[in-house]
Amino acid sequence: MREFFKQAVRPSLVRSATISFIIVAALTMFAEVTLVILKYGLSRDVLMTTGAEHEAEVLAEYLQLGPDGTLSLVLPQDVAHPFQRYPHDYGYQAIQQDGVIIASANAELFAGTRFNPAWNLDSSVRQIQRKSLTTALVMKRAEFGGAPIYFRITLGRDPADLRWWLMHDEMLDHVIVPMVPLTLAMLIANIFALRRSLRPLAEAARNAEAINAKTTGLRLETDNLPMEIVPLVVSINRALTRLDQVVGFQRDFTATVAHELRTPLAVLTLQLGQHTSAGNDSGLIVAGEMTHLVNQLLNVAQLEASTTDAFESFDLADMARQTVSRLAPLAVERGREIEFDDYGSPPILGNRDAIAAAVRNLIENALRATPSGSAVVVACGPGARLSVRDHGPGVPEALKTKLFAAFTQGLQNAGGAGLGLAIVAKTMELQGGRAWYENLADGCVFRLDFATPATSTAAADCNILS
Amino acid sequence: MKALLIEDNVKISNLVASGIKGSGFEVDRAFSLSEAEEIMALSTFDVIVLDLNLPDGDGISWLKKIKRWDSCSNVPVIVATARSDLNDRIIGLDTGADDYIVKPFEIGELLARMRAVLRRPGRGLSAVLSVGNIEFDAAAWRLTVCGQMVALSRREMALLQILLTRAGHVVARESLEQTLYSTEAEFTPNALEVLVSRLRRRLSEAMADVSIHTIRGVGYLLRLAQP
Repeated sequence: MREFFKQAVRPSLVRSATISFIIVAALTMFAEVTLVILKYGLSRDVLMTTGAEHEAEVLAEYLQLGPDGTLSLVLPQDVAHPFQRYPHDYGYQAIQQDGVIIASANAELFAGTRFNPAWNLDSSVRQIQRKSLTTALVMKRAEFGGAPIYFRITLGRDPADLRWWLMHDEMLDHVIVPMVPLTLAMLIANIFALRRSLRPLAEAARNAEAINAKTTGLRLETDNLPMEIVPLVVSINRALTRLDQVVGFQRDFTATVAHELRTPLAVLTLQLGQHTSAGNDSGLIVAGEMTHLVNQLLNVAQLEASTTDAFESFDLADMARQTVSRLAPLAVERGREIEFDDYGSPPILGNRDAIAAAVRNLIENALRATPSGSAVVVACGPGARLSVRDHGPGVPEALKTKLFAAFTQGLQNAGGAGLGLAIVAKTMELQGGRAWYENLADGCVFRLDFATPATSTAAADCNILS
Repeated sequence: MKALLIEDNVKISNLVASGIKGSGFEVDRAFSLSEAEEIMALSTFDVIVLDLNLPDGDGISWLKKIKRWDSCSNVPVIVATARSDLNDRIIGLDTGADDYIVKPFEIGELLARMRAVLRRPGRGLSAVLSVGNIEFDAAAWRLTVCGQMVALSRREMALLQILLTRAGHVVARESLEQTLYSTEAEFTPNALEVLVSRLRRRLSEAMADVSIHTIRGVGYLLRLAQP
């Protein structure tokens, strides 16, 4: 399943949601900009009038009260500049309620126009046709110290592009400043909300990773999952139930086959035993080989169907000593010696019987390989490891890469099907450890490195189960 | 010696029964657990050979039941099964079986196991233990090799008795030390080795055809010496 996800790289949900969100925000901003342009850009008159109103508001900001109580308008250079540079195009007047003009620029532009503060207008807009040019004449009332000040502005050809600066300011004030922080805030909130909703899904995925044919009874949690994802997880859990049934069937099937195959073999062995005399036991030898093969095939099948449910914590040295003890009569009968060294090891978590069978396989191989009179040494530890050393010819170079594969024989004419080391490798894989070997100057040593409960993934599976 | 064979497969039952008979045992046969109970009500047995998958029940639960009966509590039981997932721990700890043998097996192996369980203290064959040309009378504490008496110390006798009782199997070093030196607060680490080598010398001087093998790190194994 992991491979499947690796192959099909899919865009992340967060990423696509973010992209959609940015597109919507950009479209909204574009619409706002279009509206502003439509509002100001399509009619020169509107733009001029609004520009003049805006200029009046700007000027009002620079009113000052002098020490003698008189009002004055002190403009910074950048504000005053267009009025000085283009005296035929821009002009202003600041007029008190009593009609006194406290500041003005290019007053001749207002010639022929009338204004009386007594009209008490808040604002007024007029278009004046001057030669071929339409000029905007705008009055805007401002307040300073409780008294009204009337600003009159006239705008002609606008060579300083004041109206475009107005549009720039409008965009900044009404589009950029409110929209950008809002968009960013919503984007972050959106990502956060998505991530938070998906967190239980990541947890479910981690649990699902731990599921394999070796862990039965494991189901994904539906608590805390977003409503939209619950049906998927419920369906997965139903599929897991069906999977458990299949694994259960396979296990029962293996046990049944074991019984069914052993019974006729028992009849065959007993019958051959009746008709066998010393020196004429070839039938029994063949029956023995067949039994060994059936046992190994069943061993493989049982391993395939076995689960971590059968895991238990056990003493490695104790198990190894028992296995050596059981095989010692065979060793002595074949004129070999067998020895056991215990260097101390922590408790191992695994299927004790399967591991004992793996150790038995290694010892039987070693007894076949080691020459008569030499010893097979089984050593446990230090640490979570076990080794079986013989004084045989070692593993041929040609078999190096496929020694632990099924149907490979290390020794020629050994009489087996070459399943022993495959069983060993499979058993160790299930435990979370590994099997390997080294050729020595005078023999070979097979090593089993066990996963300890702290590092074992199999152990982690067990924890999830509980 | 009388054995009860409980096995539902007629072919296996015939073959095992004829094999046991040929070795001097009397055999009664049952093909189900209920039949076995009927036979046991009429007669007593020295050893029971029990198959586990029987038509009217599971041999293990039945074994637990009969082990509580006074008449059966001391009768050795050998479980003969096709179930390889069982192991000696389960058999030994949970059911009260004395030994087990996985099918398929040769009749010689079953007979060896029957003799071994009968040799244990308090059982039918316990009075005289014999392997090869040696005979050990456990009641009189007397060893003879080819009919000739051999003098041994009490501790050598005790060691030999344990090894003979488990002949063909490894006896753990710890269990030997516990049995032989249990009354001593301290004993030297190589005391057992010295004792074993002394016993070896005595047996070899007496021309006994058994040998005691050291399985380093595990224990000792007594078996018929190889020709």
